[in-house]
Amino acid sequence: METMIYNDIPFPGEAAGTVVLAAQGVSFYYGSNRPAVEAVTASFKAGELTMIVGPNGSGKSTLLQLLLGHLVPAAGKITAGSTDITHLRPLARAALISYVPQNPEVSFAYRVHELVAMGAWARQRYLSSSSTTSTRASIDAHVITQVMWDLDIHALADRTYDELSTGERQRVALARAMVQDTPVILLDEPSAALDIWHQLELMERVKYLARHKHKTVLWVTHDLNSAFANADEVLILNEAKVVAHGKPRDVLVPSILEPVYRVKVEVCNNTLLFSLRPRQG
Amino acid sequence: MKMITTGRFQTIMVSAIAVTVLVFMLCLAIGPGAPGSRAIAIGFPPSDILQLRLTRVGAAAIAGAALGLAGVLLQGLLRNPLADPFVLGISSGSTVGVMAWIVFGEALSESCSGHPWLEELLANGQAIPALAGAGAATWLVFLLGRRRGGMLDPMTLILSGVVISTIGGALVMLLNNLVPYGARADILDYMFGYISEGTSHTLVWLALLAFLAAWAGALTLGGAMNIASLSDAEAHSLGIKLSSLRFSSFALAALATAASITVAGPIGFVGLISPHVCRGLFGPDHRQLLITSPLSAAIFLMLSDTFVRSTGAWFNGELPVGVITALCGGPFFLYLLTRRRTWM
Repeated sequence: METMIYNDIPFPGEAAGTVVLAAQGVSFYYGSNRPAVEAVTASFKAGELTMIVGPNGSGKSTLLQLLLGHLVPAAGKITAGSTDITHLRPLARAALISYVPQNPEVSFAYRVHELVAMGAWARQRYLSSSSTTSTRASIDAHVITQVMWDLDIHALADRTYDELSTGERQRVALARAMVQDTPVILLDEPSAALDIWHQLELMERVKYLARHKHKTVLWVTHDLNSAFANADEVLILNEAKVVAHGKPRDVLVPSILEPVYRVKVEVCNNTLLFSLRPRQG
Repeated sequence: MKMITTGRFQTIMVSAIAVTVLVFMLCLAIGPGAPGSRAIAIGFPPSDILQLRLTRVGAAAIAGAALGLAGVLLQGLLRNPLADPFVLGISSGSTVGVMAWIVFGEALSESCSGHPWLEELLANGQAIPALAGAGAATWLVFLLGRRRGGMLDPMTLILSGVVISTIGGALVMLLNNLVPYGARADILDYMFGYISEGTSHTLVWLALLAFLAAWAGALTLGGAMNIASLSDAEAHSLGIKLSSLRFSSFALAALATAASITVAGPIGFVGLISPHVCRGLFGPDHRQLLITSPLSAAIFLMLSDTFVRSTGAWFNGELPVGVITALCGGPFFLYLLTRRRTWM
């Protein structure tokens, strides 16, 4: 299905391992002189789940919004394939990159099925010349129903947004991104409000999308053990800069984590254990 | 985006248009009874009176529809269900324009004698200064409401509107003290909104054209406005160019508001309430709101104006129509709020 849907954008269903999204010397400032993201260079490949970790205020969410193209770098550039994403048309960009925010917001009382269906809007517009309306409508209706079952929100379809719990809202935003069905998926702490069953379920689904559908997934998280166990790559940010970027077992190590998080780190049975350092003096 | 089924959408649209036409005909047929009587006459009057009524009911329909449209656009733009065309200081700007006209207009008219097109323009009374004032306030709010990078920011826009309204209110009071006592009643009428049989046909046609242009433009924005109800980053990720959408919504709302002010002055509550009622009845999908809200607002204003037109004998002269829209609209709005909070 991807080939049909993404047949005319820069990287339709790239082979695993191809660099799909890259930041080159990217810096960003929120009005002050202190950078929120400073000289970040990193590349992200098709078929890989990269988890971005770092302390509060280290620039994780800002980096994600730069990669989305919502924030424009003060220096450097973000490229999708060989194209600078700031040069992409909004609909073409939406056919490439989907995004799930930390705190999804909705201003009016839309119903769950309407919110999930919004994921198909950009694709419908983008594809308006490549298939007939009825074909697209039936594809979308099928995809929307399937995704709502997958993310366990089918029973909520007719609820309005304000009737949902935080975790349910997060699943609705995830469902919308799944319906958008893009080669690149950016997730900002998508499981922060989910119960453990939904967390594990989401992780399996995302790993499946990366490994079998060759999606490029970037997942911001505070759960270092989840990154240790599940990520193909881990990017560690601290004070707006990249501290390390590599395989979990190479970068999630005490020598890197201890100065970043100011805690004591031990690895025991493939699990990271954290404890506070004794106070000095 | 499949939000409401095509069949239901079509039924809603056809019903809304049919009811609007019926109400239009009904309002043409209702009027005051014989002079001196408090009765209301029902039935089509002689053609000369019908002609006058047609102008007035038409003006009410255009003003109402334009307010209903501006309400949807601004509530969507500001992501705020309490926004209406006047929250951005547009009403206060138009009142300042009219006040300035009353204070300085005569001197201006004299200085323009000998320029036929200027005289023609100025002969249309309050419409031109009202529009100029509304335009100036809108432009000021637009300039103040932009963030770095030029994008309109909802919160900054609302705050700018409140500040411009307050400054406008102060200017109105200042000018009020320069107005001769006899003219102050006109100002009070103007501030509540007033629709007249004597409205120039040129103005009614201009208002109709401006409204239709704004409506045609707005109808293309419905799908994008739905997506823009999400956060900025989410809307961006779904392919919405927020800067263009906000600029278009703002400009079209200003054009629709100008159309309404031209024929009816600043009428409150209509633009606030009609999107709410339609959202409650049919859901928040902007593609249908952009049709149902203007039509329902037109119905509301036609009925309100027909009431004030037919009941002059009850109140020692016709009430400004804004009194009725506020007195009916306010309590109804509160009823809606208490009945179902999720409409917000």
